[in-house]
Amino acid sequence: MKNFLKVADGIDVLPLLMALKSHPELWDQNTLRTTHPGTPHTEVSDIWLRFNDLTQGVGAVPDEHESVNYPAFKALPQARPLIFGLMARIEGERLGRCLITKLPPGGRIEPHEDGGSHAAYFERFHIVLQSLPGNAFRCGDETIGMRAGEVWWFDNAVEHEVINNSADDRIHLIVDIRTSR
Amino acid sequence: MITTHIESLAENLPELQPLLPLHYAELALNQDKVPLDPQFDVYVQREEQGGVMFIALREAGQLIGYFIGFIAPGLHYKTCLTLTMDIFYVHPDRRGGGAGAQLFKAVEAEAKRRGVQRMFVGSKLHKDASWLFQRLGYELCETYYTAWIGD
Repeated sequence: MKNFLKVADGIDVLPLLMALKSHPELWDQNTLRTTHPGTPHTEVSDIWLRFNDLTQGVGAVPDEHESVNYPAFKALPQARPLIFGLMARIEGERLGRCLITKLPPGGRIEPHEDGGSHAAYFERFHIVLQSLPGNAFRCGDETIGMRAGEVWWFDNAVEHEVINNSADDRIHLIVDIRTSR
Repeated sequence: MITTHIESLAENLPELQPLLPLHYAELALNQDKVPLDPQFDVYVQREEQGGVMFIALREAGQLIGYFIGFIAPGLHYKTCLTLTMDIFYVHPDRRGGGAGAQLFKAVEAEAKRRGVQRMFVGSKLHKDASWLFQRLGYELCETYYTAWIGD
């Protein structure tokens, strides 16, 4: 496969899933990604763990590559070993955005490419927290079904889309990491 | 919503096995003499060698159809990577809405991605799906005969 690479398998994601059950209030506190005009992510719910510092407004981000911790990162310490375990595994040099995203059964993320300098600077990884048969993740001409406990890199500069035709939510932890080049 | 998924046959065996008797009852020949008794170990072995393509047809996560085929260079034509259909099935309740065509379009796309140059697909005459293959633009190339000689 040219657009996907499985980085790890058998990761214990249950502690974070359990924590998510205990914190339903964390979903959709930040809706910029899911509500901006033309977004392909209208059907997903997000929890931002790390993102750009938007305290001065979306148009006044001091450094596009710099992400800061959001309160949910402190509320979900179970995410830390997953994120920093991945950083160590791939010898990451800089941690970017980290967010948990949920697509309901029957939901779809419309075809799109991730552009901009952030996408070009970071590599994108998906730590799969929950994904049942019926999920299809297409990137270019390749389509795979990711399973819970797997970690995947994919080329988000290539057009990609997701269809959740499974019986339950698809929940992924997305992690952007700058790697050695 | 019905979607197609490139999946592992071995991982799907528990979900696949309840469908096989339905498939067998509808399509198999000589059922009074030839019971359904798949050699799953052979399928799994071939899949481990990279020679199996399994495409699942799913609705709300449920397996409602499938395609199983074997990929290998032709025995007579080793430069030609060939996909030979083993079986395909669409649950009777889900027929008539284009699911079969959807399944085979996914098969063809994945076969192309894997570098397959030629596909062979087929259909029993007593449950003829030739219309599907003709609609997909496939060419009629061979007629098969059978005789029971085991008595």
